[in-house]
Amino acid sequence: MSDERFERAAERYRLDEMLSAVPSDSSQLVVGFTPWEEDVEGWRNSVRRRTPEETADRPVNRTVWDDPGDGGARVLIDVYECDSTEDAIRALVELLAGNQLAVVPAGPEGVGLFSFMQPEGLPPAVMMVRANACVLVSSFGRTTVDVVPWASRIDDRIRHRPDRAEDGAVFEDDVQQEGRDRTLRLEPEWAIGENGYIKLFATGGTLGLRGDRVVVGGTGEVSIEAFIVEPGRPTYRSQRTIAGS
Amino acid sequence: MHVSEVHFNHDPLTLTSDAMTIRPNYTEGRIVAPEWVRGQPGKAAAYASAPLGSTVSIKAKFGGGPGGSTVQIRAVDADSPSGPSGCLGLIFFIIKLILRGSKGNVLGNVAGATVTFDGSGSSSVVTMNLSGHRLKTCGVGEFVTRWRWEYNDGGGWTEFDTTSHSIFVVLDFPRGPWSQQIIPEVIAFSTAPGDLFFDNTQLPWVTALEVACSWAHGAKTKHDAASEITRAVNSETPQVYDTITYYGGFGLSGYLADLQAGAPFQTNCTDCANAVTALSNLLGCDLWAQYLSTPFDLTKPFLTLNGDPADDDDWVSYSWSYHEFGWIGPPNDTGKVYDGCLQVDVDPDPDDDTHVARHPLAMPFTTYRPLLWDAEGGLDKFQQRRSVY
Repeated sequence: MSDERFERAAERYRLDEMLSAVPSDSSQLVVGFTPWEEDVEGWRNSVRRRTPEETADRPVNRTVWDDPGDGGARVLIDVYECDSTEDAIRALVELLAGNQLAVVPAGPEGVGLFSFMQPEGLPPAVMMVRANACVLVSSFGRTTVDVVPWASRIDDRIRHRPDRAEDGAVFEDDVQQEGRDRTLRLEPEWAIGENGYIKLFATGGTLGLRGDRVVVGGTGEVSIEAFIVEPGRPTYRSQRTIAGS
Repeated sequence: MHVSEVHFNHDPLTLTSDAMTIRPNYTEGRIVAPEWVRGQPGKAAAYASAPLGSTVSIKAKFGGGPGGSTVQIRAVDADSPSGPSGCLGLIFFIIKLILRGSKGNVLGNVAGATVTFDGSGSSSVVTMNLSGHRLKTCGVGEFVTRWRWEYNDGGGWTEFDTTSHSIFVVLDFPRGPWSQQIIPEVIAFSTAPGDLFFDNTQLPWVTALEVACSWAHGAKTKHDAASEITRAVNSETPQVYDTITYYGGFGLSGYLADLQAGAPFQTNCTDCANAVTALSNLLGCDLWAQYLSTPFDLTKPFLTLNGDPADDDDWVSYSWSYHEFGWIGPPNDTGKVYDGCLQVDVDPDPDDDTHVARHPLAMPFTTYRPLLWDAEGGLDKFQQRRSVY
């Protein structure tokens, strides 16, 4: 996408205002997020596809879900894995810039940190940001599907902080100083299955991703809680406190 | 005696006398000759018609022959219909000729060549010329060649083997995003199959050739090929129009997989422009994806993707910020449009309720634009041929 197209969209959708609304003293990340069966009303998964790493700045995990009772009813869920909440907001603006509509209206109240949605007359779709994920949920077939409940469930799943978990290692022990950044490597104790993912919550600072390393923003002490969640398996938790730099 | 190998792309550096370099898809490395090896599944070969010179050749290797001897070997069309016998025979003969013409052997016969067998009965790889091929005249398509191999040791021609080959024919060497680049600038040539050094993912894909050659089968000019691709993108797919770009980049692998799956899916103008451009240029056309910044006013009514001209609900208008379509020519008013996303209304009275649908196929931009907007300007100077993945 040309810089000019992105800049026009950035102005139209007020990118700067969205970026300035991101908190600097708390943060959330998801790594490897994918929708679960509970999110998709028992629909059948017909497509599971990931953008090749070498072709995109932000890999996209695409799943498509088909209504077993209506071949024309399909829902697409694209999850853009971004490095940070700010990066996810930029991904959202890029998604909006690639939308032919002159203006995409604001999304449903309470869904996503920010969200937009297709107006009436077009196949329903919600585009939103939550944590470091930019998510597109769209009615993808010939039969119109109300995707707002789907988007709401996805949003809830991303931001839900597990209240029960067993102890398990998620991080490598060392915290490294890389310039002004403190980083630590994600190293789950076991291989996570196809539908499993990692969630991280921070207070006292921000979180970002750089490859397989978590980048801790801010200069003070930051407390990080990480969870491995997988359907059909116990949730595991790990906690680290990163000293101020 | 038997055929051991057949090589179609026996010189990856040229297109003038042999097949071009292709790969199965985005993830699998290039197909390296021999494309046919005894006992293994055959691999497809593809020819670009325009660059071919007066002599087109294959290479072949044989085994099980008379040790230390020399024979003549040739191959003839194994499906060549025998002469008609009676009226019914004449009808069948004509039908066979038509079928052969549309999908059958385009490589003709393999002219006789001298083949020497070593003590173990194996030959070296031998160059053999095609005779009576139709590669310059058959147009676009996917064809099957079956050869009946014969040897002559001085006692007449004797059949000894048959081979079957899947052959794609395109009109000219593929334009961007496709390429024939296989040699890095500073590294010497290697024949290692799937060698990562030569992992050019933009070599023509067999999966894309299957679709493009089917949609444009029989096209003998670039305009006809691009037109068939544009028409098919618009009207022969299970797509539904949306304003969101779903195959950005261009995600051709996903697009082809979703086409094959047959379930309805959505695309917007950028997706359609990428499909028209990539699949047309695979056949040797010279298109670009052209971006147009549009006024925010409502467009004039147009027939939506896969729309039914008789259904009033399929005639739609939108407030767009941009539109994108296939294009030939420079990025100015002299260019021509191949738009696979919509059909325009060419009814002479735009204010009545009668609509006449027309696919924009090499439609002059100066004709096309007023059918959608009254405003002028907005053509982006930067034309795209997005890499495929």
